[in-house]
Amino acid sequence: MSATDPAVVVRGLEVRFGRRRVLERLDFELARGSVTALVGSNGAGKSTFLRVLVGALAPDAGSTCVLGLDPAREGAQVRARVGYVPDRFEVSERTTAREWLEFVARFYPTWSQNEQQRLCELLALDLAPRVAELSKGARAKLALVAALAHQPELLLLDEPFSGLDAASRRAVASAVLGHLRDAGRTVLLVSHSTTDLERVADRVALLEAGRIVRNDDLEAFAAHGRRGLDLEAALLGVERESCP
Amino acid sequence: MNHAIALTRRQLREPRLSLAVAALATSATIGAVHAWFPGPAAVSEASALAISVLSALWTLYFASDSFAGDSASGRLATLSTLPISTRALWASRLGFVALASLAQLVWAIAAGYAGQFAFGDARSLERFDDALRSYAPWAFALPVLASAAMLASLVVESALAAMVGSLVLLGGLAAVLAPLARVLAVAGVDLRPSVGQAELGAALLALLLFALGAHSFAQGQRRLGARRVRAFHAAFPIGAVLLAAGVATAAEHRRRLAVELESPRAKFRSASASVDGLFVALEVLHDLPGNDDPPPNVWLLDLETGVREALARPGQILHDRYLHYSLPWSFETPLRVLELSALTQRELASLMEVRADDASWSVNTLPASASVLTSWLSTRAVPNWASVDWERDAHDVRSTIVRWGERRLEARFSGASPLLGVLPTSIPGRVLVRREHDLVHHDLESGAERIVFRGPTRGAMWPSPSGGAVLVSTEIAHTALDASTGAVLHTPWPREEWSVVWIDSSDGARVVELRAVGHVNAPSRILNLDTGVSFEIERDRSHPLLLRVGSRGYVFVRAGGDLVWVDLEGRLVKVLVER
Repeated sequence: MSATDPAVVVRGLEVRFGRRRVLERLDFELARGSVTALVGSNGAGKSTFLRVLVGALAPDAGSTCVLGLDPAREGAQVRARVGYVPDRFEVSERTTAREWLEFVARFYPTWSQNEQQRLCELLALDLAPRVAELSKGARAKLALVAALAHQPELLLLDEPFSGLDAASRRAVASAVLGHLRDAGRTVLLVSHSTTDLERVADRVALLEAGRIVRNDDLEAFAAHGRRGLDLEAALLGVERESCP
Repeated sequence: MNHAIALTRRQLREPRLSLAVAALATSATIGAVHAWFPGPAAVSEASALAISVLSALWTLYFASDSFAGDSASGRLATLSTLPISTRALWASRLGFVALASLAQLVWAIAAGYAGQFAFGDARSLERFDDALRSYAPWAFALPVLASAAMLASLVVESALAAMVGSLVLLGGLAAVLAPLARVLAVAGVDLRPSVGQAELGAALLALLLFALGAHSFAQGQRRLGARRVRAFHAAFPIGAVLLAAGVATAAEHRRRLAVELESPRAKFRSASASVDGLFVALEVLHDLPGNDDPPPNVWLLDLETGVREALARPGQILHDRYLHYSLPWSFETPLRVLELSALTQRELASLMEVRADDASWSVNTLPASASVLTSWLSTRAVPNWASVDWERDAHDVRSTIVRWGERRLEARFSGASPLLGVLPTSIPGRVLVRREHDLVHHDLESGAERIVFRGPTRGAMWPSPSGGAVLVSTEIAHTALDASTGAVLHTPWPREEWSVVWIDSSDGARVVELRAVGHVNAPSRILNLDTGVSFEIERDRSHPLLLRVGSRGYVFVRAGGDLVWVDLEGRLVKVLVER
């Protein structure tokens, strides 16, 4: 696999939960070094798509290639090279944040203590308290540090700004993701906050009814609604168009 | 491997409070046993029992909590986002359950020995050691418990539910296996294992359940660790096995209840003939290996025409209440049959009366009733002038009380029947009693006693089916006596040469079967003590049935398995059932 190959290639992906089709004939490519925002309405299948990419969910049909690997069969290898922040992050309440990171570090050969320390300082995360004592925002930061400290080639973030205060959002959006973009890392980011997306994303993919209905540069996407660089308005416009 | 070890270490750290509480509870229980149980023997036994029970309980608990709690809280889903393989995740949980259970077992044993060293002595320690060793073979149940609980833990959301679920699962398997074993026994397959086979079977069952758990876990992990997916993959094979085995067992259950006379595995247990000997009621059951004694079928058979009818499946013939010989039946005095529940095979389903007339029989079925059944209990060994009661005093010593109007005789002895020590004779007021080592006639009117057989006797006296004679043994010989007169009916048979038993009969004939001691395959000699007629038969002794059918002769199973009818001199009249 060459450095110019896409980090993610998805063809004809289908995921069903019972009779309900969540993803349907989904095609998608994620260019290396890009920061792509995956947007869409609630229940569109964004989190499901990310779970397929990390191998937590085997698709019913289609092919998925992440960093040259098939996540359904080589999930552990994929996860070793991917930083993933899930929408739900639950760890033992009795463990401390430091103990959790020490535990997680054992599974990543590329784990960097320096990176961990840098991220903690950047996010102002105190590692001494038990998880039970952490606020929702602090837990989100902990998940982010665990996903980033092993310096992944690909970062999959599912609502990373959820629960963060304004300062932390800025830190995450600008400093962390900006740093990743500058370092040439590939990021696929799910968020409902258009402000945050505008701050970090260079591409936007719109997922609706189980399909990628639009995948454009941020500016082209925002210009779609002929309302200048108003991403929120553009998204609303696209969503309205994609509705049957 | 390193991942699995890291996960196991974490698994052991997280429930450290539970592990400590379990160890403390074990120690407290052992302490309580030492404090409250009286005597070193009771303490040793109870300590060993507590260790065994608690070890099983902790294994069940930790295995039940292996997935359920983490799955419900989402912690398992978080772990699944790390670069950990499904196999490593499963192995770590298995490792945790094994280590936690082993640690609790070792702690419990250590606490038991510590208690003995602190509060016991050398003897109590030895008893404790023996008691603990006696429970050791049950250790093979621990992996079975653990595997069932881990499987249950995958499909429910709490440890408590998993504990209950695993017990239900094992109970379901046992519920299917027990009747399945009985069904297979009919086909000649003995499923009752030796200890070694049971251990191997338990190990295989545990492996099977562990494998099923691993499979359902892996399938669930492919779908976001979905509990529903795990439940499907775990429940489907188990459900299929239980359903198939259940249906097969239910189908075979009825077949098992139906014993055909021609079946090579049919065992003829006993029979009861009509007074004229024309009709015979047969108790037939499946000849199963070991001590499994299934309920019999009752068949009616016409000796002349060969007409037969399955009367009760399952059922039992009501025999003499004291001597357990058959009760001859006619039109006035019907044959009584108990029909048993086809489901439980133990409970009474209905009562049946069979009346014999000149050409056939008629059956009357009554609802099951304990009072009716009690009223049916009778004996033909006790003449009409006497009544016999069998009572048990406060010290559990049994007494036979013979009453003749106002007069009574009470005799104490131990035996399976009240008539083995006291037998009213056909002469009113005269009772044959075993006194010390002699047999005496006791006169109820005068209270006088006369020795009729001087011992020392060995064992009880054995009345004939009609009560008209008794067999009594000494160290040297067996002797048959007329019960009323005390007259010796035949030259005594040397004990070293012959074993002697009464032959059941539908009339009052006093007939014995003689078997040469030490010759298993030697023919039996039939001897009528009243007429002196004697002949030999070769009968299959695996079938207890040997019945005199009045003046028509004898019915028995001959060597080779056929049910035959011979005349009074042993000549074959008819093969009743060819097998």
